[in-house]
Amino acid sequence: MIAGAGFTIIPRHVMGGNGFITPSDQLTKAIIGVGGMGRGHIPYEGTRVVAICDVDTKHLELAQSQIGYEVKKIHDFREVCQLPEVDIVHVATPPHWHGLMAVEAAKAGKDIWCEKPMTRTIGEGKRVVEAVNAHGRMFRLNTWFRFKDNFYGLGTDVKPLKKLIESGILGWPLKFTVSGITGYDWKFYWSGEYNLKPMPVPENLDYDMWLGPAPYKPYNPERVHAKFRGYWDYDGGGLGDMGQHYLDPVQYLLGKDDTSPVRIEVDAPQQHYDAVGSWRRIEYTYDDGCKIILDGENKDKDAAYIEGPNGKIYRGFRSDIPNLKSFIETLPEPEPQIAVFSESVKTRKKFALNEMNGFRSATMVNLGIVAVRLGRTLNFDPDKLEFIDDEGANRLINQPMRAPWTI
Amino acid sequence: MIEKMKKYITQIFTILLLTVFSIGSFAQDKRTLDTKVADILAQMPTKDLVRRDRVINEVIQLGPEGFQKFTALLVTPGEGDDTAVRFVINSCSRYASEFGKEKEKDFVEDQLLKALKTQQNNDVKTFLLNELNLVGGEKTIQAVKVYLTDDFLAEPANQTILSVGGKTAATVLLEALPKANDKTKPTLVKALGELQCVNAVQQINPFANDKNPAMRKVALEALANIGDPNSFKTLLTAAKNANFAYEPANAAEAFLKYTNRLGEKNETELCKKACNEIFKANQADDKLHNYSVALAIYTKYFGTEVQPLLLKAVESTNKPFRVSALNLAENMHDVAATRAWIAKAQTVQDETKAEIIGMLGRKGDPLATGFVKESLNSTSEMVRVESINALLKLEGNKATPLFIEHLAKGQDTEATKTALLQLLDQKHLAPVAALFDKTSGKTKAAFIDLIAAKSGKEYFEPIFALTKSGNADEKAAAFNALKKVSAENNLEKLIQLLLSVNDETEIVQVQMAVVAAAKGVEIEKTEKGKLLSALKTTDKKDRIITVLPEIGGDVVLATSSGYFKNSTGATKEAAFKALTNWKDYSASAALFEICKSNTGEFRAPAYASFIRQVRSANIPDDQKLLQYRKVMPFASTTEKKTQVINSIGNLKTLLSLVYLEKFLDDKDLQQASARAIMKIALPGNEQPGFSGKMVKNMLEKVASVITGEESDYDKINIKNYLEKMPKEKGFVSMFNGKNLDGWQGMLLDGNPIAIAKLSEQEKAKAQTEADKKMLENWSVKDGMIVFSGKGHNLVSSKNYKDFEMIVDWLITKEGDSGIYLRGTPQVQIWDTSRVDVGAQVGSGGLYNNNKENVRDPLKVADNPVNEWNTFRILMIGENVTVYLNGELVVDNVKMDNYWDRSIPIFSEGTIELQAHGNELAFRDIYVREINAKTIGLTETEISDGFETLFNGKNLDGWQGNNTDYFAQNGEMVVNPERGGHGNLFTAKEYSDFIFRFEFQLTPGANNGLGIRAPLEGDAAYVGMELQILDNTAPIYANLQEYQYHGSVYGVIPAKRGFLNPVGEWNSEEVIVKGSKVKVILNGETILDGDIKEASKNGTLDGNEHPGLLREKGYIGFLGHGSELKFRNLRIKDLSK
Repeated sequence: MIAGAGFTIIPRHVMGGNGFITPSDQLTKAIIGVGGMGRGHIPYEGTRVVAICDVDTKHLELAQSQIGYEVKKIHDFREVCQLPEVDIVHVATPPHWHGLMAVEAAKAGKDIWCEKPMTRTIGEGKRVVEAVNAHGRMFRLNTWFRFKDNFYGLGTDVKPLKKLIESGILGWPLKFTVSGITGYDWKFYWSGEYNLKPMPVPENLDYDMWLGPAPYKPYNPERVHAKFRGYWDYDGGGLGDMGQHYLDPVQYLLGKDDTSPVRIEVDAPQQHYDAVGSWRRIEYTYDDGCKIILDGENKDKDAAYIEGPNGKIYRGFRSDIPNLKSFIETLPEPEPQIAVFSESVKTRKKFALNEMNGFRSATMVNLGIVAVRLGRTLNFDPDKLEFIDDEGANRLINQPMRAPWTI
Repeated sequence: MIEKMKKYITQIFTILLLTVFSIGSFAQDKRTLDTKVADILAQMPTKDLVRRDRVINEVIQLGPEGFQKFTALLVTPGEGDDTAVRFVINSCSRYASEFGKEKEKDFVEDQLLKALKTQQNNDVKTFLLNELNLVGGEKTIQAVKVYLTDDFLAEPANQTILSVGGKTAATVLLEALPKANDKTKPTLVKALGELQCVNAVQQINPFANDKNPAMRKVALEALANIGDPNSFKTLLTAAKNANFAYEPANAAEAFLKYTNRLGEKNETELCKKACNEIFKANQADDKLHNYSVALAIYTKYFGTEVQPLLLKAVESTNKPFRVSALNLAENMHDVAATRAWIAKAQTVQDETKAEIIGMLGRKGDPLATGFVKESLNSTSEMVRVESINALLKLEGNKATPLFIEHLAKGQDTEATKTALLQLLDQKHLAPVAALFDKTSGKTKAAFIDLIAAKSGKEYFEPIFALTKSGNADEKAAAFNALKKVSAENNLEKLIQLLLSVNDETEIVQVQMAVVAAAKGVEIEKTEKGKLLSALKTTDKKDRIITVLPEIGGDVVLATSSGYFKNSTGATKEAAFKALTNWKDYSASAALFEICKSNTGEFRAPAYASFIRQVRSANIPDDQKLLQYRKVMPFASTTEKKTQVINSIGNLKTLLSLVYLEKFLDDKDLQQASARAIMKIALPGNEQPGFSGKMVKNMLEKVASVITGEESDYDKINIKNYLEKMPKEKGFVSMFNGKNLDGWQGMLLDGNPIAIAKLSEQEKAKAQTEADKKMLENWSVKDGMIVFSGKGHNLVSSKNYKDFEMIVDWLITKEGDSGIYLRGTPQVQIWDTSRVDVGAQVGSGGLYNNNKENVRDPLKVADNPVNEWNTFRILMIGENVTVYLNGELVVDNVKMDNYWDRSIPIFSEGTIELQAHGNELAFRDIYVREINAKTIGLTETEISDGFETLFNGKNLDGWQGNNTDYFAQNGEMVVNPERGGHGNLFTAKEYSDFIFRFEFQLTPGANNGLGIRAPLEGDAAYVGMELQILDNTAPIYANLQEYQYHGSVYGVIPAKRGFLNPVGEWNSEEVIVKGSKVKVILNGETILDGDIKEASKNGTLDGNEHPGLLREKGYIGFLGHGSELKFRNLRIKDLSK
C-alpha cells in the first residue's frame, strides 16, 4: 500500500546518500532566539544558517550583521518551522520556550538543536521526548561534556572515567561531589531582583511574544535579555543555566541515562515567589544508593569528585588507587558516541546527548529547582515521573501555559 | 536586594521592633499582634529552611486575623515595597502544600481566598491566585470562577482552576464559556480540552472554524484532547484543509493527537480509521513524519498488528522514515516479529538491510544472532559493519573469537577493531597475539594496534621484531605500538633502535618508547644511565637530547644546558627544545637567560616555556609573581602580556593585585587584568578574599569595566563580596612611587633612646638636616626607592605598633641592608655569597637578636643578587614572623632590643630601610596596621566594645602556664606533654563580662573555663569553673548532670547534646553578670541560671564553693591533661 507511487518523490534532505544535496553540501539551520546565546550558534560546524528568528528586532539586526550574507529574518518562530529549506531548528531562546518550540519543530518534521536546560518543567521534557520520537526526529542538547572537551577539574574528557567506573574498581554505589574543591568552577547562584517596578516596553521588543506561555508579569528590563535566569517563570538561576552542563556527564558516568534520582534534599535560604535566590547544597540519591551532591559552599573540604567504597578520584585525576592512569589504559573502551550532530542527522543514529538522556539530566535540574522552590525534601518515582506523597510538588511538574500556547 | 528590604522594614517597623527587643525574647510573649507580624516580617527571608518552617508555623499560629494583617500589606507593583510580605505569603502556601499538612493547607486556602475578595488590584489578585495554585481545592474553584470572564484575571484564575483540576473545574469553565469574550475564550477552551471535558464538545465545535488561527488552534487541540468520536469529521476536515502541513492552527497535529486519544479511549475502529486517513494523506516526503506518528499510535494500541505496516514502511526511500519505523519495531518484544524482520532483510536493498540489522542488535532478541552472524559475510560493507555492531550488542564477550576471526580475514578492520576495543582488556590479549604468525600486512597491523591499545607489555619482543618487518603496514604499526608496550628492561634495545632508524616518524615513535621505558628510572637521571652514556658516544645526539626533558634531574638538565651553550646545528636546536620542554621549574633560570640574552628565534619559545614552567612550579606565590614580573618586559605582544596577567590571576597575594591594577587602564589588557584581579581578590577554594580599602576600590573599578559573556555572574560575585567584606582599612602604601613623601632622614644613628632625650627644638633642627642629607643619598627612580651607597637609613615618618608589612628589595653584589622594625635593627638583607660575614644563612633573619635567641633564618630563600625579593613581615607584640619570597624564614620569634638589651623591644617605632654602603633598591612597600585588641573581631563586636584576648601569635595578655599553652596557626593549642605546669590565666581580672570563644575537643578532652578565679587554688571552688568537656566520650557515661559541658561545676547543670561532633569547632558565649551566668553553645542556651539561687540551699555536689561569692577574678583555662584547641577568644568587659 505504501510502497510505490507514494515514495517516488525525491527527498529534499541529504539523507541516505540518494537525496538532494544543498548547494554547499551542508545541512541548513534556522536559529530561534538570536540574543547572545543564539548568536553563538551561528558558527556551529557542519551547517549553514538560512533563517534567524527573534522577538527583538535589535537581536535580528545584530545576528544578521554577524552572519555576513543575507538570511531570512523572522518574528514568529512558527514561520521558521514552516520553511521547507530548513533542516535543523536551533532553539536558543530563554528556557520557558525550549520545550514548546522543540515540540513545534518536531511537529513540522524538523530536527532540533536545543539549548540547555532542555525544558523548565519535567512535564515539558516528557512532551519533547514523545514528540521527537513519534515524529522520528533527531535531537541534540547543547551541552557536551559527556562526549568531548576536558571534564572540568579532572583534566580529561569523560572517557577514562567511564572506563574506570565500568571496570568496577571503585565499587558501588558511587558518590559524586560537584563543588569548587572537586574542580568545578560552579555558578551556584544567579539571583533575581525583588519588587520590580513596571516599566514601558521598548519599541524593538514584542514583550507579549517574549513571555509566550509564561504568566503575564509587567515588563521590567530585569526580566528579559541576559537577566531572565533570575526568575522562576523563565529559568532557575545558576542551576538552570549551568546545572545540566555539570549533571549530565555525571549521569552518563553513573549509567543513569534512563532513570532519575528518588530523593532530593536541599539546603537553601527561603526563596522568593518570583525571583530566584541562592542555595547551598542539593543532594540527589538514586534508588541504588548512588549520590550526586552539588556542594555550593564547598562544605566538604576533603571531597573527592567520585567516591566509591574502594577508591576515590579527586580534582586533577588524583586518586588513592595507585597507577590509576596506566590501569585505565588496559581496560575495554566504552561504547563510541556520535559527537557530531550532522552525522546523526544524516545517519539517523541518535546523537550522544539526545532527547532521552537529555530529558533525564534536565529532570535532575528541574527536580533541584522544585526542591529549592518548595524548600523541602522530595521523593520521586523515576518511572511514573511523579513525586511521591507530594501533591504540591506534583503541581509543579506541569505548569499551565498562557493561551493559546500549549505543548 | 536583601539590603533594600531591610531598609524598608527598618523604616516601617523600627518602633515596633524596638518594642520587641526591649521586652526581650526570654520574657513571656506579650507582644501585640502587630508586633508579632512585624517581628516575622523582619526575619524575611530566612537563611535556611528550618528557620523558614519555624517562622511560617508562627504565621499560621497567628490565625485568620494575623494572616490578614500580612495580606493587607500587599501593594501594587511599583507603589511600594511588599517584598517581605510576599515572602511570607508565598512560603505559607509552599509550606502548607507539604504532604500531611491538611489543616495548614485548609487554613492558608481560606485566608488567600478571603484576601482575594478584599484586594482590589489585579496584580495583587494575580499574586494571590498564583499562591492558590499550590494549596487550592474545591473551595478555590467555586471562589475564583467569577474571574474566568475577567479580561485580566481570566488567565491566572484559569491556571488556578487547572492546578486543582477535576470535574468541578470543568463544570465551572464550561459555565463561564458562553459569557466569555474574544480575549478570554481561548483560555477557557484550552482548559476544557486539558480537562478532557466531553460536555464541552458542542460549545467548542464552532471555534474549530474560527477566523483567528490562535482560536482555531486551541479549539482543535481541545477537541483532540477530549477525543469524542463525534469530532472525527471536524478534525479530519481541518487537517485535510491544512493539507496536513505544519501551520499555526496546528490542525494536522490536532488530528494526530485525536487519533492517539481514540486509542487511549478504546475507540479501536475509529482509531484505526484515523490512522488510515493519516497514512493516506501523508505519503509525500515532507509529511512522512506524520505517517511515523500514526505508526507509533498504531503500535501503541494494536501491538503486533502493526507489523505488516512496519515491514512495508522500510521499503520507503526516505531514511528518516525507515529508521523511525524500525525504532518502533525495536521496542516490540516478540519472536514472530524478529523472524519477519530477518525474512524482510533478505529482500531489501543493502542500506535498509543494514538498518534492520542495526535494529535487531538494539532489540537484543537472541533469535537474530544466527542471521546477524551470517550477515558478517555479506558482500556489502554497510551490512557487515552493522552486523558487527549488532553482534556486539547481542553477544557481548561471547563474540570476541568471532571478531578476532573476522579481523584475521582482513575485512572491516576499523569496525571490527572498534568492537574488539570494547571487549578486550590487557588480560585477554593472548588470542590476539596468537594471530601474529598467521596474518600479515594490514591485518597483522590491526592486531598490533589492539595489543598496543591495551598496553600489552608482554608482547614487546614480537612487536619489537616487527619494526624490522619488510611489510610497510606491519612496520608502521609496530613502531606506533612501541610506546605502549615498552618497559625499563627494554631500554637498551630501544636506544639502539633510536640511533639506527632514519625515518622521521619512526624516530619520534622510538623516542616516545624510550620515554615510556626510562621515565621514573632513577639511574637514568645520572651519568651512569644508559641514556647519558649513549649520548656521549653517539653523533646523533639530538635524538637522545629530545627525550631528556621527560627524564629530568639536575645532571640531565646541566647536560642539556651545556649542549645548548656549546654546540651548534641540530644538537643545539635539540638542546634548546629540550630546555623549553622541561617538565619542571628547574629549567626556568636557563630559559630566562636565553630570553634575556637572545633575540629572534630563541626568545619567543623560551619566553613561553618560562611562563609555563613558573605556572606549574611548586613554589610560593610571592616567588611566582617575582618571576612573572621579571619576564614581563620581554612580552612583545598583547597576547603574551595577557598570558602573564592570566597567570598572575592565580596568585593569592596583595602584590599581585597591586601589579595588575595598572593594567586596568590599558584597553588591550583591561579585561584580562579585571578578571585576574577578581580571581585573586574574591574568596576562592579554601582561601578567604582580600579586604581593605585599596582592594575595595580595585574591585569597584573591576566591576565597572568588566564585560563579556559571564560578566553578569562576575558582577554579582563582586557585589556580594563587597557587601560582606570586612570594613577594615587594610594595607596602605608607604611609598607613592614618585617621591619620598612619608619618609624622613635618620637622627643620631637611629637610636630611639637617644632621640627621645632630644628637646623638641633640637629634634626639629636635627631632622631638617637629616632630611636634607636623605635627599642626597636616597632617590626615586622608575617607581623604586634607590640608595646611592652613601648615608643613613630611610625612616618612616610614622610610628607603628603591631603591623604586617610587605616590601620588595634588590641588592647588588656584596650588598648589605635590612629593615628596621620599631626603630630597631633588623630583618637582615645580604648577599649570601659573603661567607666571610656568615651571609650563607640567607636573608630575613633577626640579625641583632641576642645570642641565645633565634637569629638565623630557617632556610635560604634569597633570589640571586640583582633580582628582586619579597619580604612579608608580621610583627605582633614582641614577636616577628618573616616570609622571604613566600618561604617562612622567621617563625614567630621574639625580637630583642638592640639599643638596650636589658629591656624588651619598644612597643612602637619607625620602620626603616637600612643603608650600608652598597647600591640597593626597594619598591612596593605596603603596611597594614594591626590593632591587636581587635584581631578577629567582627565589626559589630568592635562597635559593641569587645576586645581580643588572644592575638593568634603569642600569649601576650596571659599569664601562668605558657608552656603547655601556646600559639600555633592562629590557634591557642593545649598540649600537656610539653612539661608545663598549672593553668593559664588572663593578665587582667574581670567581674561582669561577655566572653566568646571557640574550642575544638579531642575525644574525651577535659578542660575548664575559670571565672572570677584567683591565680592559686582549685578554681572550681575558689572561683567558678564552667566545664569544657567531651561528655560524649564513653568514659564520661556516668557523669553527674552538673558535670556536663557548660555546667557551673557542681552548682548549675547545663543542657546536654549541643556539642558539635568531636574534631569540629564549637562556639561558646559566656555571659556573667552579678550572680547570673548564661552559657550559649553553638547558638543554643544550655545554661541560664543564678549562682546565688542555685547555692542558697547548698550546692548540687554538696561541696563548699566559696568562690561563688567573689566579685571579680581572672578568666582561665583549667587544664586537666587533655589536648584541645581554642581560638577567637574575645571579651566585653561589662563593668566598664
